[in-house]
Amino acid sequence: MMHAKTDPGLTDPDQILVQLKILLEEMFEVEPADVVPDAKLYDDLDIDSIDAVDLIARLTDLTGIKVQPEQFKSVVTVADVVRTIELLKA
Amino acid sequence: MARVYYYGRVVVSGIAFLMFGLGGLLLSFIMVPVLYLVVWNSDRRAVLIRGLIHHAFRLFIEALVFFRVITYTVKGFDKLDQPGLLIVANHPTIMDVVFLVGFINNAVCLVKQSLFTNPFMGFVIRGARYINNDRPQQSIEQCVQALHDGLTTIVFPEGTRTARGKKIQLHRGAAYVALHSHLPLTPVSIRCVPGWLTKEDRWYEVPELPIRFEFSVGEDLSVQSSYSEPTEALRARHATAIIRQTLFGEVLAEQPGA
Repeated sequence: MMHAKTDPGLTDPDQILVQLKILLEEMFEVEPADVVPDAKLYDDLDIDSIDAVDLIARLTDLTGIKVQPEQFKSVVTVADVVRTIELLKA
Repeated sequence: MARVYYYGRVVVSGIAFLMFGLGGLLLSFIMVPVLYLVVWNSDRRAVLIRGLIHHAFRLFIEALVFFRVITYTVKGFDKLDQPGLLIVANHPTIMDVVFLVGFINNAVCLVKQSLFTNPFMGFVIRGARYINNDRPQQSIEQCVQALHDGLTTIVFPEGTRTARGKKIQLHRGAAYVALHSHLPLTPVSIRCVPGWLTKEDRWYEVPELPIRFEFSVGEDLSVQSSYSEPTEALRARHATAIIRQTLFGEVLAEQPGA
């Protein structure tokens, strides 16, 4: 299975989005073209709360920073995910 | 004349709802509290409360038939007598759960969180040990446990009633339950013509009576082929696609307005 490459210097939102596309395709077979900042995780990409738990675990692995589920509570769109990762890396 | 007939329908429908409401009050405030006083073993009490709900719903259905508000046909319902079935159904109207619980004794349903805290129904629903959908992983394990205990478990993968003209997005809970319990799914297709008590209708928007309900139990659905997917998330998606194809492929094709 292919794993998204970890780049410790990943702070640029565009780069984060690219990585997120790879990750969501690999984990949930989400079409990368659908992963745009405005896309809603649940309504548009069919990523449910169980998937979100997996996604958080995976992001924790990739960033090496413990992502708290609470930080993900207010996440609705792809842009929110990118912003959360950005904040973690900062 | 048509107008008189229309008002007649509204009155009949109003009476039906009044009956349902009064029955609900009787259950919530008299029968279930009495059971709490008399039966102290909560397992035993849950079985009795489920029995009460089952008989009350069946009575309500037959009363609606008697007053010519509805008619119904069922196909393959004898199969639902077996214990421990994992039932998935589409969800066009409020009546769906009334029918399934009215025809299957001692079944548990996956119920939305808000009903658990509902002042009228919460007491009954908690007492019956229906399964709360508030925490997905826990709800799935509770469904698996209920099935393991031989209780038929009813899940509506749409999560809520079918919204007209909207893409149907299925929750994957039923798929997870099937995958974790290693049980096949028993699909029940529900049709209601003309549409009544859908998400958009109010109780007084009553179509031509009687309203016809058609229930049909399909062949068991195996999710065996989903186990070859590499991860849990993908297995659940694969199994959900199987459910969608069986239960909703057909329903969608039959509703040109959808």
